[in-house]
Amino acid sequence: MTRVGGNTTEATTTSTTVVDLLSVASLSISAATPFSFFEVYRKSAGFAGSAGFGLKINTTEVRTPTAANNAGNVCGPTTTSDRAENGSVTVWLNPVVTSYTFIGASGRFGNWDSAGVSVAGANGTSSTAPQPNATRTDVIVNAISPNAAVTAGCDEMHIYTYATS
Amino acid sequence: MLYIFVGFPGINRLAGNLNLNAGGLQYCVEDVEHLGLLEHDPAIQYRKEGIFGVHDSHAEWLYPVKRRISMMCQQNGITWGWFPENWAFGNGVTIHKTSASPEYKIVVHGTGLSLDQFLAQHGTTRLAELELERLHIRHEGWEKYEARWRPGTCPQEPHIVHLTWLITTHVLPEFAYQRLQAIIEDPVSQLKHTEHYLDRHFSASRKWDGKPSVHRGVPGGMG
Repeated sequence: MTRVGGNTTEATTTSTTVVDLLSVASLSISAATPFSFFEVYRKSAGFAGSAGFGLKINTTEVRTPTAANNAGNVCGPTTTSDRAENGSVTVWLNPVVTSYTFIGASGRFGNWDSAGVSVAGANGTSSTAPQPNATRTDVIVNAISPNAAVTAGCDEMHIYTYATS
Repeated sequence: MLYIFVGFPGINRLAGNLNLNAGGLQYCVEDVEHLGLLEHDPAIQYRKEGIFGVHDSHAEWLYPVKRRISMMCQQNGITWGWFPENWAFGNGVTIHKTSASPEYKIVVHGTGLSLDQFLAQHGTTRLAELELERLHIRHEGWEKYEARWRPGTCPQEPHIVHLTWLITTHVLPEFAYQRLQAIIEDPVSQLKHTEHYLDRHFSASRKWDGKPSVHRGVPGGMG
């Protein structure tokens, strides 16, 4: 347990199947309130494959992360090169209201290799399922490593809600 | 077998120190101290509901989860019930992080109304007659989060829960479990054979300033 002044560190995994990695709980963001969040992510060298970062809202997997299709990873794509990479992402979640219930997440990210060279920067608007039409209480970044030799990590998630009146 | 510990290796050392990350802990367990074998099969995923065989977008329930949650975890109020429905533990090693913060509002004492709401209802009021208080808003999200903890153990201030879990192919012998527990939860335990580790096995720790992760309102320039 970390309280004010205690130590913290990044969330990391070597899991080759999807794992819930970084989460903000105790939220109360109504379905009709738009919000966004920032987060940073990385993968280590060790294997030629991409680590993926997806998104869960409450218990719903809005974007399943994949090690096969890096561009669809809304919370962080990496390339398949065997090298350390890191990046940053901003994700927007629009309101969910009656008749507009298939609303996923949109991400914009930049990705850099270990030499500091930008290797991917694009819009990612891919969701595998809509957000739940309910109060958003948990935002979870889930992740997958392409191989146990690769450590995937993420940190510094900050959520901002937008005023609706 | 799923092993869950509270904290992360080195959480109690001075901030700025390098501590084992998930890849480093895996290297420690499998290659340096030979404590056990971890599950790395990309078709095996541990979830709250059981062990699943996964392929592409398909998942099939295979077995119930065998688990051991450390005593320190339970003393902190974290039991199996802490993990919500559909929680994914994956496989291998994970150092997980959850942050939570209570939210407060300033209300007129005894009314539950904000100053603005109070003035709208009562009209002009002498400020000297009002007593204000900071009220914890026990909204749906907080109630749901607090219910995950053993009764009376949920911290009532902003906090981060660090958990380290490992999924092994077999049950660990007791000596290996005790050593693992020491590496993760014991503030004075030391790594053995440190010369075998590489830079990528470590992550830096830092002091947390206590700022919550959720902000009502967008950052400057985005509104």
